[in-house]
Amino acid sequence: MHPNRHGHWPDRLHRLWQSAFASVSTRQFADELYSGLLDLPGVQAVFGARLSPEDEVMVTRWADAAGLRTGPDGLAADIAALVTDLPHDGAVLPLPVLARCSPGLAARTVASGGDGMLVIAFGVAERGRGVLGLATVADASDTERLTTALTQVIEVVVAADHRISEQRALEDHQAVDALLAEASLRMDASLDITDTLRAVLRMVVPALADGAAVHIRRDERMVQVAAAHVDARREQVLADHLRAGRWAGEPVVTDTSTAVDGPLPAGLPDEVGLDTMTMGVLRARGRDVGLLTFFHRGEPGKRVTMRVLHDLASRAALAIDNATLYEQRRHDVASLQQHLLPAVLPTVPGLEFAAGYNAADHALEVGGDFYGVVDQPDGAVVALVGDVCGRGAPATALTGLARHTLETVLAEGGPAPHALGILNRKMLRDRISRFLTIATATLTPGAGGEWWVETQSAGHPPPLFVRRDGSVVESGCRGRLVGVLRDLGLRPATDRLLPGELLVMFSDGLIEARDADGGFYGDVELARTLTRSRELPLAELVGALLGGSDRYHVNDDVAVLVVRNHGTTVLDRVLPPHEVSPAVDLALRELSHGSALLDRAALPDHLARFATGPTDIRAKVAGDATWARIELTAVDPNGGTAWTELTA
Amino acid sequence: MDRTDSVTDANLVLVVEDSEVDREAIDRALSRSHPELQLEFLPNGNAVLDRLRDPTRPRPALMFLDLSMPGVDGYGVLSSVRADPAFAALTIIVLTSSTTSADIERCYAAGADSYIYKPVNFALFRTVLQGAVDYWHSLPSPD
Repeated sequence: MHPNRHGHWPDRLHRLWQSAFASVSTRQFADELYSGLLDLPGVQAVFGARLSPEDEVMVTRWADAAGLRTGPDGLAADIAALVTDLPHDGAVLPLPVLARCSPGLAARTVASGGDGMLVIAFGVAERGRGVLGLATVADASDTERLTTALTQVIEVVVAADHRISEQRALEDHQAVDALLAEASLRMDASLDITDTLRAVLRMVVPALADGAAVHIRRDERMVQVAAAHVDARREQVLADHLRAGRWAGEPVVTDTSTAVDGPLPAGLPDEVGLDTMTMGVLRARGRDVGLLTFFHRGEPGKRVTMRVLHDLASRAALAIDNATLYEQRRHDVASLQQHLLPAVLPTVPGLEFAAGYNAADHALEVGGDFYGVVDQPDGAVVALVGDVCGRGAPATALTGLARHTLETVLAEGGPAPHALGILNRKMLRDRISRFLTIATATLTPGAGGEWWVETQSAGHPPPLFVRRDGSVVESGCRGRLVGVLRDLGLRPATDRLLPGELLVMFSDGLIEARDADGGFYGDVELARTLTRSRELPLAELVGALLGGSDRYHVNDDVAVLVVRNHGTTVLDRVLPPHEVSPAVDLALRELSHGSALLDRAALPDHLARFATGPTDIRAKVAGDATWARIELTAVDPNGGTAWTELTA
Repeated sequence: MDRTDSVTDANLVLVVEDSEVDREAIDRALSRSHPELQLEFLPNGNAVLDRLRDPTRPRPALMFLDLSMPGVDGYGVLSSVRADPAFAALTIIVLTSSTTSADIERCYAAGADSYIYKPVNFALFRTVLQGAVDYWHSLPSPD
């Protein structure tokens, strides 16, 4: 005899297999399952339950003539009363027996019209158990056939449950892998570790946890740098609590040596709504650099295995360690670079100097560019800019050697070609495999405020002169690289530097800076910038050059040295604003010796306005009979500078 | 009928998302993790208020809101919905690909209940959506 009263049980079983294998949860084929069993002869009601490995009743369903219901009131408790004696091979429990074990279930059976219950327990995925029961009428049912049918249904449930469980495990695995991969990409792509860790927490919440926080060790304390909560309103409470130094029930996080993975009580205020936590110490090269904490409501989800937490923690630790090391290295490089450059430039009457240095983008090695200014015993001054081939320790050593050799010889009065020759011979004798380029400018005072400039270039971009009218002229000096051939082939050039004129020296990284179209700064725009900006205070002019005129990307090591001949200084005093104009007027008369063009009755408008403020003004006037520079600087550090140049 | 007479359906979720690909992904993800939910989609922010105020239809308990949309963007929707006290109980979850602090703070200030990062990977996206729905569905109803 067939177990189905309508004789179609094989068809229903077949449809159940189909539904079960198309479903992604047992809920999706529950209708098919319960209605099929309910149709069996003598079956008045069907119940089902899923139990945890600890036999906690997690999901219940009940189907009878009124339909299928999930989690009806009290059913979980009724089934819980049965769980200690659940049969695995099927047995009909008569009402008296059922009533002793579970009075509630017995009452439900009676209410459905049954007089006994066939119950079978079975194992499901993740060490859980399932229970299916049929409320039966003894006279109308065939226990053996019902047991067979129930066993067949259980085979479907178990197979589908394992498949669904494996599929979910696979998808969880894929999700975790994706999270770890994306977090790693973020952390590898940025050195702003705080910002990056904040972004990583946004990926973690709510995928792996309801809340999360990162602490980083700073000054021997764990300082919270990021916190996230799936509930925006509670996030602030969480962050405030952690920021105040309270965490995990401890007043202050200082020691990670006793840290336990968890789950642990979170020790957070009730209003945060998260009661447990899991945590991983961020450990890099034996050092604890931080803490990664996940917060949960209740037990952590299945995805939060300690492997995942530790994996993410180790990636974060590596990122923090790399960023810290990078910053330390940058600081060391900047410090060493600074020591290779003169701390201050000398003060020379009639001349003004300004220099600047640009370190290559994200360079972690000291560059070989350098500059210097050397006083000579006879009143001459030698300005120099050099560029050692390469970067790093060998280039640094050669830079030190070059500067020391040149400046020692020059400071004793040796001419620049002589100093270059000594350096060249020393490099060849010592078989130094690197070379360097260098330009020098020896400035000797002449008559009427002018300076004679003898320039040398050993394979270096020749210096530029910016004349009073703004024209830019390149020095004609030429020569070979230092450290390659015995003869440097130096061909010096001599020029005059009048008051109001500039001498500009630089290394090749400046002229090789490119704009977005690939054009070189040195082609046209450098000269235009010098023409346009020649009246700027020298420090600002150097800044404009190193900034590539806001168009060219100066991303190499570059040294720039600018010299201005400002002639004779006739006024350099701090004055109250109302005394500035008469003092400047007097100074200009002194310079001009009666020349009508410099003999102004009043300050130019923009300078006059500048001198109406409340603070004292440092007024400087310098030049000669045919050119003057007026520069007013507010004593207040935020007051700025105004200037003008006058040409007769 | 007064507009406040609309009944809130705890299983109704409104998804405001202009990307068809993302709408499909949300549909696929939530129909698997939470088959009991009924999803309703709007392709832009322009019609959100009219939909919420429609007295003939049940009101959603939860709204997923994309931030970057043509027309009225997510911030605009957030501000207008939160300006109406009738929708105070509506949970609004912002979905975005940005993780910058400024965007997060702006959304919180405008009244978002959750700020959810929208990952590219579908498995992770499904997990994120599931985590958010699990959290808000497990809270006691404000009523």
